[in-house]
Amino acid sequence: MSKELVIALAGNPNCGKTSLFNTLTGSKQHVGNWPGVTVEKKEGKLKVGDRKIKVIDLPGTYSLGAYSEDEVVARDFILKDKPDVVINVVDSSNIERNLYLTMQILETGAKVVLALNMMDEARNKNIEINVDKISKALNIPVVSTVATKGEGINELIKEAIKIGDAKENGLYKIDYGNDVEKEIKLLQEALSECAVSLEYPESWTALKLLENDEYIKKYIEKKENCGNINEKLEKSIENLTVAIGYEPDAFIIDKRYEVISEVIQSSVKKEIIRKESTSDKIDKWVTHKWFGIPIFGIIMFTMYQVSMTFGNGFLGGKVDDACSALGEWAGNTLTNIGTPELLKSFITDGIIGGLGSVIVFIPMIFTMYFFISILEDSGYMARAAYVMDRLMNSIGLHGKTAVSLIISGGCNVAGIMSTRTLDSRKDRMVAILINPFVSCSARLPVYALFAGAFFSGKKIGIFDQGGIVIFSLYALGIIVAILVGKFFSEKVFKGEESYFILELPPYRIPTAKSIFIHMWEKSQHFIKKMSTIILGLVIIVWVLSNLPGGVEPGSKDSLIGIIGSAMAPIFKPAGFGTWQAAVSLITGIGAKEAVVSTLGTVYGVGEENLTTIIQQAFTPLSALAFMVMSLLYCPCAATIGAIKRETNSSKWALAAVVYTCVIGWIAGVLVYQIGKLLGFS
Amino acid sequence: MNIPLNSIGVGKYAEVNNVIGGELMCKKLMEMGVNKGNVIEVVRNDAGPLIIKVGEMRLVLGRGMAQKVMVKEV
Repeated sequence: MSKELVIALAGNPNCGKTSLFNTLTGSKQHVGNWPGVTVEKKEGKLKVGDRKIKVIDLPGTYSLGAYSEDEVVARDFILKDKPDVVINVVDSSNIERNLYLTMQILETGAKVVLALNMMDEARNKNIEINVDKISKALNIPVVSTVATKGEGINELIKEAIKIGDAKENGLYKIDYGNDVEKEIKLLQEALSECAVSLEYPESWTALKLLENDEYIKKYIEKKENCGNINEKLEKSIENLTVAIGYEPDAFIIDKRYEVISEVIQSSVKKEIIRKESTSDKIDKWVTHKWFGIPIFGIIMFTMYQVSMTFGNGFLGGKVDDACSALGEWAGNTLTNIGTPELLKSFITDGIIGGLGSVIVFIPMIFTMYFFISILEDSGYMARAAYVMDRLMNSIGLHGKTAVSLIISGGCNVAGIMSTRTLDSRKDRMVAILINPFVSCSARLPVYALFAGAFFSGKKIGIFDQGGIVIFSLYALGIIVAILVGKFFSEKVFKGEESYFILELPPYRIPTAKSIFIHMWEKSQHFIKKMSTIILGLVIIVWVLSNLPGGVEPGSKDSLIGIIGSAMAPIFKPAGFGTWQAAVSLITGIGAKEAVVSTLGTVYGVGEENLTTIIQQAFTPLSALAFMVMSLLYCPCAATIGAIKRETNSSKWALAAVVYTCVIGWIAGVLVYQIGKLLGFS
Repeated sequence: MNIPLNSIGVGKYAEVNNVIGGELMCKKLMEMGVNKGNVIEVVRNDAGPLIIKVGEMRLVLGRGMAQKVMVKEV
């Protein structure tokens, strides 16, 4: 038995790396995080004959620089974990730019197989690539593939196994010219003094130092015995700047492109047609000065409408029926077999009542992620960032921030993670800190319950009042996010430069498989959350509402009643000073859905009867204030964790908890008090 | 004569001479293909960020960044 072969997939964003990964590993995937950072790590397994293969999907990057965590993760994996083979996936229709990363991977000394992916698109663009010639020029195996159709995959794996088992490693080296090579050698010698502790190859490290790689420079500074390297480096850079006429980092980049263009010239035939592609034609409208924003608006509106009517109304309704039927059946069965009253209450009121009130929203969450996956996979999301930039810029925010806010509409944690595409620290911090104000799908259960109880069924013009209330809450969240963002970018992180570089990938019709994998990846955590945090909270709430022994369950004298009563006065000015409301807001910090499930448990009823009870416990005005409060107050535990990780600061996470609670409370009180002044109740 | 990229009109082509300013992002831009000798097509250039085409790649570029890309019209 030969040992497990470890293959890493590396490539640019949008090169079809993910489809290749999906084709290779099918459903045997595992998604986790790289240690220490929040970059997603995807692993999968496959078997060829009796050979076990592990495939690791590295983050998509344009280079192996240190511009983002993604790039550091990718290069550290190649250099430190030393996979047996690196499959470098290349978008054949854009081969020149893609080969830049290839050059850098080759320079690490890794064993590389080049997958010329999207060959079909290249052919459509009249780009002819001679596979053998590229292979010869780079001295590595090259396979042409179409990952979405499974073409060339077997051959790719075969080559990978072959090269992975081979001992020899045909080293590839770019000749940077005498001047640079001389300095590399000097630095390399200096590095060998502290090489014992160096985790990277010396020649590679020397090159990176000349490239002015901040990450490696800091890394070397921390090493012992490498102290004097900085002086040597400064001198080297000075010498080179004089010798070649400009900075060595730019020179090295140019040199790599020079080598690439030699490779291309010998092996790629391309008709230069300055003709509009389909993507160009679509972009004419989608990125248009006037039409761009309305198109964006229509797409967003459709997404939320379909999620609400089809996902929540139709599919959610079916699940709701099933839940009530299950509750009834369980109640009857348990009575029939003579179950003690306490256990029966635990199962029907606690578990089925509490959890059921949340499960009904799963179809809506899936529908929403179905749309978000289509928007991302088709390439529209990048256009949205462009279109929104103008609007966002006028209030001092970045276009990519808008995209993170859209994703936050699914889940704040995902939204915060997506801010990693922002290049400057300022833009990123602001985006992270305002994301919690966006209505995520976990808040919808709260809106649906309260708007359903008080506003649905009444019409304003042709519109349903309930729909208007929910829409206004979404709008309020975004307005608050923008106002707070403006404050942060003007008062707190002022003066820092902001950048905007973003690739607009060609439009692609996403495959059903990729959308479903994508959608499943994103929404499965809701199911996980339901069976862990929310179930846990439901049980805790039920237990607390039945203690101390002998007390009327869920009454003011139960433990939970005592806790809630202590908190209730705080919320009195906002019109919902009941202990039940207070308790539900506390558990809502664990997960926002828990607001509803807790109400279900403390009132001891399922969702249907919950509506009736809510109608007695709240007035329309206090219900509105309660919804505003649930929207804006404290982010859920998972979001607080994400803020801490992504800002790398507990202080900011704590600050976020404080300012969201304060803003939420003030907004709730304002709604209630102003409403009362205007004569509403 | 070298002029910044954002003064090139829509539909015009320009050859990159250099990217000024030593920030990290300028280097990233060069690594993505906006470097000496490459020809860029300007697809959009109105109030917001620019859309440019480098080879087969379409790139959105903030105005501030575009100011740092020195080109000559071809």
